[in-house]
Amino acid sequence: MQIIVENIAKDYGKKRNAVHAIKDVSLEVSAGEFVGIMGPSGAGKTSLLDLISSNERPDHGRILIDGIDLTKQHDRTLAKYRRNKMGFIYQSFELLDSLNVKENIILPLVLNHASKNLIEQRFQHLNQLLNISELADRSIDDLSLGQRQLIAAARALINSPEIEPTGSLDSNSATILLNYMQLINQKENTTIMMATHDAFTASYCSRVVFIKDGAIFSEIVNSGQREDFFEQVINMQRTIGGGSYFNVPENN
Amino acid sequence: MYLKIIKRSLYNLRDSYLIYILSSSFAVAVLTIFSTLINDPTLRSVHYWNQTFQSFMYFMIFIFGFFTFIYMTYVGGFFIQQQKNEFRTYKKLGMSRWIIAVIGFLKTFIVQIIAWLLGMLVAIILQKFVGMMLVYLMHVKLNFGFFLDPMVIWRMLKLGIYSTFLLSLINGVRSYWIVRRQKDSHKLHLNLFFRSIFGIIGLLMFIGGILASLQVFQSVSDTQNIDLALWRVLWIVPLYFIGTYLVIMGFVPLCLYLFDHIKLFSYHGINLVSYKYLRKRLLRNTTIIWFITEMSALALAILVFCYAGYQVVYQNFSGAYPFEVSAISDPAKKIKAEFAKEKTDVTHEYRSKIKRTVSYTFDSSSNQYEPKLISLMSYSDYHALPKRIQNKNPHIGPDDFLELKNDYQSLTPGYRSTKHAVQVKGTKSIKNRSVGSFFPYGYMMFSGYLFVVPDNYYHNVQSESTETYYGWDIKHSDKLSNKFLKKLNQKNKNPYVITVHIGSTLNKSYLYEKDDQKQNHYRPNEYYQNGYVRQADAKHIIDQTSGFFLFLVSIFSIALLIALGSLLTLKVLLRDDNEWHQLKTLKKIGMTERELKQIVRRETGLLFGLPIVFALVQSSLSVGILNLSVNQSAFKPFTVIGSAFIVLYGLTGWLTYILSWRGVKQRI
Repeated sequence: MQIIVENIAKDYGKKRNAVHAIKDVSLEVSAGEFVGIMGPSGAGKTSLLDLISSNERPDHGRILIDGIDLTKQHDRTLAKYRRNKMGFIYQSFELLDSLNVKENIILPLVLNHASKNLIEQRFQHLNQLLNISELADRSIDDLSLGQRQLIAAARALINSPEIEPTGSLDSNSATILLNYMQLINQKENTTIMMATHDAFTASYCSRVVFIKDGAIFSEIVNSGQREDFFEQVINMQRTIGGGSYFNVPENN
Repeated sequence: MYLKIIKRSLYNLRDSYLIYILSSSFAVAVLTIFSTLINDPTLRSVHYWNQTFQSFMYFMIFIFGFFTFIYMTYVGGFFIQQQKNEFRTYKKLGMSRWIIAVIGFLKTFIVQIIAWLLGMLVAIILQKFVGMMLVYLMHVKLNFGFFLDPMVIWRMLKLGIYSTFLLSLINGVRSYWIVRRQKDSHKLHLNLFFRSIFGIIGLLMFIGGILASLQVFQSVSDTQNIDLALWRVLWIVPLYFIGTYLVIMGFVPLCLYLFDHIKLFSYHGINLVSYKYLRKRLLRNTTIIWFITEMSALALAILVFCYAGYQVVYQNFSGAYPFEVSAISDPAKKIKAEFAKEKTDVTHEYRSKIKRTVSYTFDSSSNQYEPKLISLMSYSDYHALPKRIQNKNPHIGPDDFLELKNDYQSLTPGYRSTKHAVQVKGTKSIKNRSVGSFFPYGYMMFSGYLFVVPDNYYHNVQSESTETYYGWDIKHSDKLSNKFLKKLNQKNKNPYVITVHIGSTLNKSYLYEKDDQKQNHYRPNEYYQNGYVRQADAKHIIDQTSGFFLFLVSIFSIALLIALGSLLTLKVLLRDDNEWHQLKTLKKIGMTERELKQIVRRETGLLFGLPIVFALVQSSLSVGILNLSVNQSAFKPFTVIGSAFIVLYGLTGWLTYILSWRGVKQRI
């Protein structure tokens, strides 16, 4: 799926208290691209992903997904679009603590009235890839941060989305997930957008867009050498501030 | 900065505060209006106002004021509870507990003072309207003028300031205590196993209550033992009270738990989320739902009794005065002459002859036949009476017998029993007959039993005493002057007494009449004959009393509905942070507005539906049991009041749903 963002802007609050979260941002993501969004805290990464994933509507500008203008769609259409076409891994995971792990993962399918067989089949498929069977009946409160991230990712992937906006992947335990995301990006041509503070995580991307104060500051394209790309990301992070590059797992 | 915090918090909870302010100001308005009505010059000119209604009104003001204060104290606590996380954050950021208490105090003070002033303003605006309504309901022909006693206003203002200060202080202390604890000490989730066990016990108790109630109905009709039935009620009431609580606490959550664990139900759209969400909301609000259920059941039962009581009074009145004026033959001549003299607009005159003799009638209390006076009217005479009288008794044909008994006799056991024949002196005994209670010329005009009998039977009876009854329908008033009535009373109020001389057999028993106007107490074998009765003597008392109580019942019903409805509405609207977070998450992961609406609808439906269902079951059975002693069907009043309750409660639920969804939509 191709994403075109044209001159979007978003303010939060009113009058004197208004915060300009996104200022005239334009961006194009080709189908099957794996794009990282980086920037200091409060730069507007999550706001941008919220707008692309239709959780928020921009004050100005357009967002086109495969030529369809999201800003002109009805709320109901957008909700179905979010549920069926996208898988969002939120920074705070947004897991429902009243549901257990399995129920959290299968929720998008259940809401779609999928058959019980399909639900089980998809869950088993994810289980093989992410190795989550031991967690299935556990409560969300009993999980570590890394495990929560994994479950949030599994929920995002259960519907085989065409776009994967990823709010946060900063943990060491995300390696399995990153490998899997790279795999589905290459095999199934899934478009992935991922916000991260972590240079190592960003090194999986084919392109990283840097945001500062709600506007695009710069971008770096991965030419093929992951180490070089990693260095470039770190250098850019030093320039704009924020982020970390200490999360490189030992085996990497 | 503190003022900014207060302002923002009031703004954030504006919907809930608005509901609280409106319901509180309604209560204040009622209190103010009642206070001004007590010494209202228009009402003081009404005879019964000064005698009884005024002191009743004082009592009502006290009761209403007391419950208003309880309501304000209880509901005021919701808002502090709602902001506990906010207050705890302030404390973590270094704000002292005293400052937080002052914030709690000031917020309550602002809301309370607005509610109180608004209530008084509404009272000033509506005082004349409410007074006019009261005067209209009491059928008092007076022009109700606007009256505002400055002393009452000053007293209400003082009361407002004192109560506002006290409630603010209470909420200040609550705020202080809430930040002392970093976490809530009470554990919300009781072990599922125990909860389920209690729930099943509760259901069994509730079903036991229903069965016991039905058994009471059965046993009373069999044994005539009302005392035993009332004694059993003492056992049934706790079954309902405790059973309902346990069902809400354990059984309904158990059902939701089971639904949640049966994939056939739970793996279907929003069910996966909603069963758990509803269960959590239910566990959090168990006590309040139970409280509302019991209060609703009590209110329904009381309203049905008030309504049924009003009907009994009215029926009693129309049973005593079916015509504007009724009389026996002697005073009838004088009354007719007075009508002619005063040009009274008589629309209809009715006349019926009766025969009197002695009969052997079975007495259930002594369990034997006793000689009694019996009055007989022919079917033709009865049939010539207006339909409005005949319609109140069972329908009979020309060959049927109809036994008419007094209303007070309806309290005696076996009132409607016809298994014992009535032996009439000198003629055939009456075996099959219908039983009614509406005497054609009013029950005060007859002594003992009246039988409507077939014409040929009537002609065969050897009469020992006869009388002719007159009844007049009159347009407007009967125009009988006090002077005339005084004169009439001297001779014709109780013109004669009929005594049954009890012989060794029925044939040896006989009647004799004697003039006795001074006698106040009659022996069992003596029957007085009233000279005349007029509707005008009692109508204004009935009108005023029923109007006054109808007014009070209406105001209290509305107040109760507002109090209970707002309590539930606030409970639905005030979600905790976690609940809000869940709804937001559901939207983020792609739940449509329609599905979210469905969750809100189910939540409102459950919180409003449970009290309605349980309250209706409980009140219908308790009305049924207590009604056994009145021997009058409460089915119609219960249906009317129950339906009105469902409609009004349903409307409140619907409004709550609208508000709740509005709040959810804005916040997510």
